[in-house]
Amino acid sequence: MAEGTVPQAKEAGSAPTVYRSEDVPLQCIPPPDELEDTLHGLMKLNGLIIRSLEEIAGRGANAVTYRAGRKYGHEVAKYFRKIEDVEEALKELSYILHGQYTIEIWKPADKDRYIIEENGSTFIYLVFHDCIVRQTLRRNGQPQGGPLCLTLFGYVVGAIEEITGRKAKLEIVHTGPNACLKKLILQ
Amino acid sequence: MKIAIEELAGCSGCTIAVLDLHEALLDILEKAEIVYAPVIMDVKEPPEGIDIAFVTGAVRNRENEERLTLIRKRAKTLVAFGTCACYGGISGLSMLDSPEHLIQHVFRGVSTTRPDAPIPKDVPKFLYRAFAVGDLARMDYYITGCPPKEMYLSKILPALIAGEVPALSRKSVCSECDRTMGSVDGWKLRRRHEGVPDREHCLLGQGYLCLGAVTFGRCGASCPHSNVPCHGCNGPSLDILREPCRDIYNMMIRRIADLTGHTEAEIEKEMYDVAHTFYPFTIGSLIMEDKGISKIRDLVRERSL
Amino acid sequence: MIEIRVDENACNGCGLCVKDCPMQVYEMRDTVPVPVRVASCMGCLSCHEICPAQALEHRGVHPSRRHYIDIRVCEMLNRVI
Repeated sequence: MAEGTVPQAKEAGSAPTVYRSEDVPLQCIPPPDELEDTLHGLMKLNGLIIRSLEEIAGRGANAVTYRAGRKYGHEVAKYFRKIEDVEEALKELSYILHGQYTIEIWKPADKDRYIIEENGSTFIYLVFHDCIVRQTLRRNGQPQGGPLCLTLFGYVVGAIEEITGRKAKLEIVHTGPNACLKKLILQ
Repeated sequence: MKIAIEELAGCSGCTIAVLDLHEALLDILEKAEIVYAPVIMDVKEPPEGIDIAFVTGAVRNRENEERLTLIRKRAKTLVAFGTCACYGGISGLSMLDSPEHLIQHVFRGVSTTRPDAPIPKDVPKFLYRAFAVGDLARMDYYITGCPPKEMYLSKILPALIAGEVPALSRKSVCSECDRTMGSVDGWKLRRRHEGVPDREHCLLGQGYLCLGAVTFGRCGASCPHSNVPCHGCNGPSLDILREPCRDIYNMMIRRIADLTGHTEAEIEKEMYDVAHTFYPFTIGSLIMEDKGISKIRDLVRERSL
Repeated sequence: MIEIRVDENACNGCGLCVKDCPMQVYEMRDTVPVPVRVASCMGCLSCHEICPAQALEHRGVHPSRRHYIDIRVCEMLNRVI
């Protein structure tokens, strides 16, 4: 809720701030409730946009978000040196976005290598811990695994392509409240 | 130590719950003096310098709002006591009807009134909606319950008076219930009056709408213990309160669907009177209503217009 | 290392955790779920979400950021006795 209206603040002459363009911003750490307003507002906005996109474009929404993610992946990977080994590339990738998206290369107990070959496909399990997409979807009560999650699909595929030169696909195995399991399928 | 129990829009059951401590009340009175409690004492205004005040009942009219502001000023520690104070509770159910219609019904529409009975004018005006007290003032603690049960109050109140917070289990009613899951084959929704529940097995699995899974504990699961499905009177369980994507209705549907193997759509078709079966104690709480997936706002709009 | 504990007093044997776990970590033994494949757990906590009695405890799981929860909700949660 707004603390006061703009005309009220002007009248009160309470603003102690002199606006010189070289001095803005006046606070390095904004108060948490202001940050929360902005953050939650953005999450709500994103959620509404993706929902409307899905309602209008149907499965085309997936294509839009995938493309957006891929652009992001390509951009991020431009500053990387070329790495041949997919595992190493993933490790460097997870370092960059850590916190926004915390990606862990994972293997189940009965396997001894991260790269798994099963039923004719070669893949690596990725566990997404922190995830802005999950936070956004859970804020709005929207189901996980939809078009917004596909931005990450695009991101990882685009980045891996740029760094290693290999083509890949991402498949969502399970979405959960604290972590999601995905498969990076290498071709 | 001075304590007070303020009564807003409530049934005064929470004040009586404090009396329900019986002899244990004498131990409390040795350390603390009740200086203001309109339900049980004649003192008309809360004095200055109250150490702990318990506010019971929701905020429904102007007088409640003013009393809440007053008690917040006069007390160092303010505790929202009872489900009406914490979540709107039964008082919040008044939001399912418009104030005008409520007044017409109460003063003119029941069997003991005349259709031309006078409607009092000198009474505090309704606010446009009910509020849980935490939505309007800063609370220091919340104790839920309709009313809070004596077996837990006997641990909580002495601790609060000694300046401590007791560490009690914060799990749902299911954790306190002694039933085990029985067979869920042929699950069909059963209303409370249909059949007699099997005492040993989970009521939800038998088809009854037992809200134990989505309700905060602190009652020893007394209702399931007496073969009655839980009605959710302790408010939502903490994991539901916390997550904006979890709500009493959607978590119940999801759990029933996962348990029985039916789809969520099939289960939702069998539900009836969602406002009174799922949300009887949480209408009026801004936190529960602000969840995007909550049905409360739609139900209130549908019913009160 | 992930460690999983089941509070047997709270558990009511509904078996929802066994059904919901994507890695089949749990197995029902005598109306109580037993985590038999803990090393396959990747910490999604879907079992926590579905358990009606909050009977499960995980240790060693990375707690993902939940900044979508309002400050006023966190405050209320911390003050429920």
